[in-house]
Amino acid sequence: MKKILLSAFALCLFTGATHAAEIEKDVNNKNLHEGEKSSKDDPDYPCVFTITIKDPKGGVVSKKEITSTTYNSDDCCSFADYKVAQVTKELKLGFTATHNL
Amino acid sequence: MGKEQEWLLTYFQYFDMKIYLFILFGFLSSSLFSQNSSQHSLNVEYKILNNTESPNTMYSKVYVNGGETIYIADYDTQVFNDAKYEAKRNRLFGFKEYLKIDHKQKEIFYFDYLGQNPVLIKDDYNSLKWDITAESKVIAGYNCTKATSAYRGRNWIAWFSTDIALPYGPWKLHGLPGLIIEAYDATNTYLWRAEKIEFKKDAIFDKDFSTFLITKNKKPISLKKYIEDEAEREANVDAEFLRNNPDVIVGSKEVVRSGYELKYEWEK
Repeated sequence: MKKILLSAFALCLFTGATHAAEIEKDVNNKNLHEGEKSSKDDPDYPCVFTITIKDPKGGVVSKKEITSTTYNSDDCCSFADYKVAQVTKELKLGFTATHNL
Repeated sequence: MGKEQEWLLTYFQYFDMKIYLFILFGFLSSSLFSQNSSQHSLNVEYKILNNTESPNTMYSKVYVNGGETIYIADYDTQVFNDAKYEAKRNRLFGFKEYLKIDHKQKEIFYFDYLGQNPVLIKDDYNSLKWDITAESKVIAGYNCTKATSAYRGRNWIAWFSTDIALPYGPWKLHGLPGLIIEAYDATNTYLWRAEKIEFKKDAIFDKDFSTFLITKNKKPISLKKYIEDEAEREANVDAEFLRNNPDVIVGSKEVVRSGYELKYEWEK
């Protein structure tokens, strides 16, 4: 009788522990999923920079303030590089564009 | 008849007076002509200091032949003061500014760009009204006099030398009673200083100026038309940038006119 009770108690403990581990795993998965969703679909890092255009003599001709959102600061720098490249393609020959990040 | 007169008469009779005078006249006139023509053909190398937001130095040349001048600013010689900027910048090889002034026909031609495409422009001949001062100094071994003038939004200071009595200078600066040895604007943003002067005609005058760059327009367009066309192109580029970047907010766009000319006659 004592052995039966001990076996039942051990089974309960094992089942409870397994269930707890599954719940923890679910919570972790849910958190991970939500985290991924947040970083992929909803970038919320404010990315603000200025594109400065200079003439061939080094004089400033225009400044554009650009505001957007990215995932993080590294992405913001890459985004600014990309926008500068985009602007440079359309510049007058000899003019240059740079950003301040 | 004195002894001297007798001697001269004998001398001229001996060599034939007419031939002697002809040779003498020919020698004097040819030496005078060659001096005159060499003085009307010269090449001046100017060092340029662009004291802009990104200060830099470069070289330009003014070629003079008769009443024509060709100005070439060579960006291959440009060096920015900031070593880091100089090291990482994208150099544009072969990029030059070309400008020709025909002082007899009173015409100015030069090249600029509509985006990446060179355009030949005809500008109005600028008769600068110089105020010649009493100030003088020696620059590069030449006695120079100071003169000032206003042109298209900038006040220019020029030091010219009557040692080389030619009314020319760098870019569109001209009209003084001597060659401009040094010139700068009142804000000290742009400066030219002559470093080398050669008295010879350059082969550059053998080439048709309008072919210095290959342009789409066969006939030169007016400067006013060029400025309007470039402004329209830039507005289209800005609009396209916004269309292609809906994720971006373009805030304040600050636009300033830079360069040698800030304001034109047709602008209020």
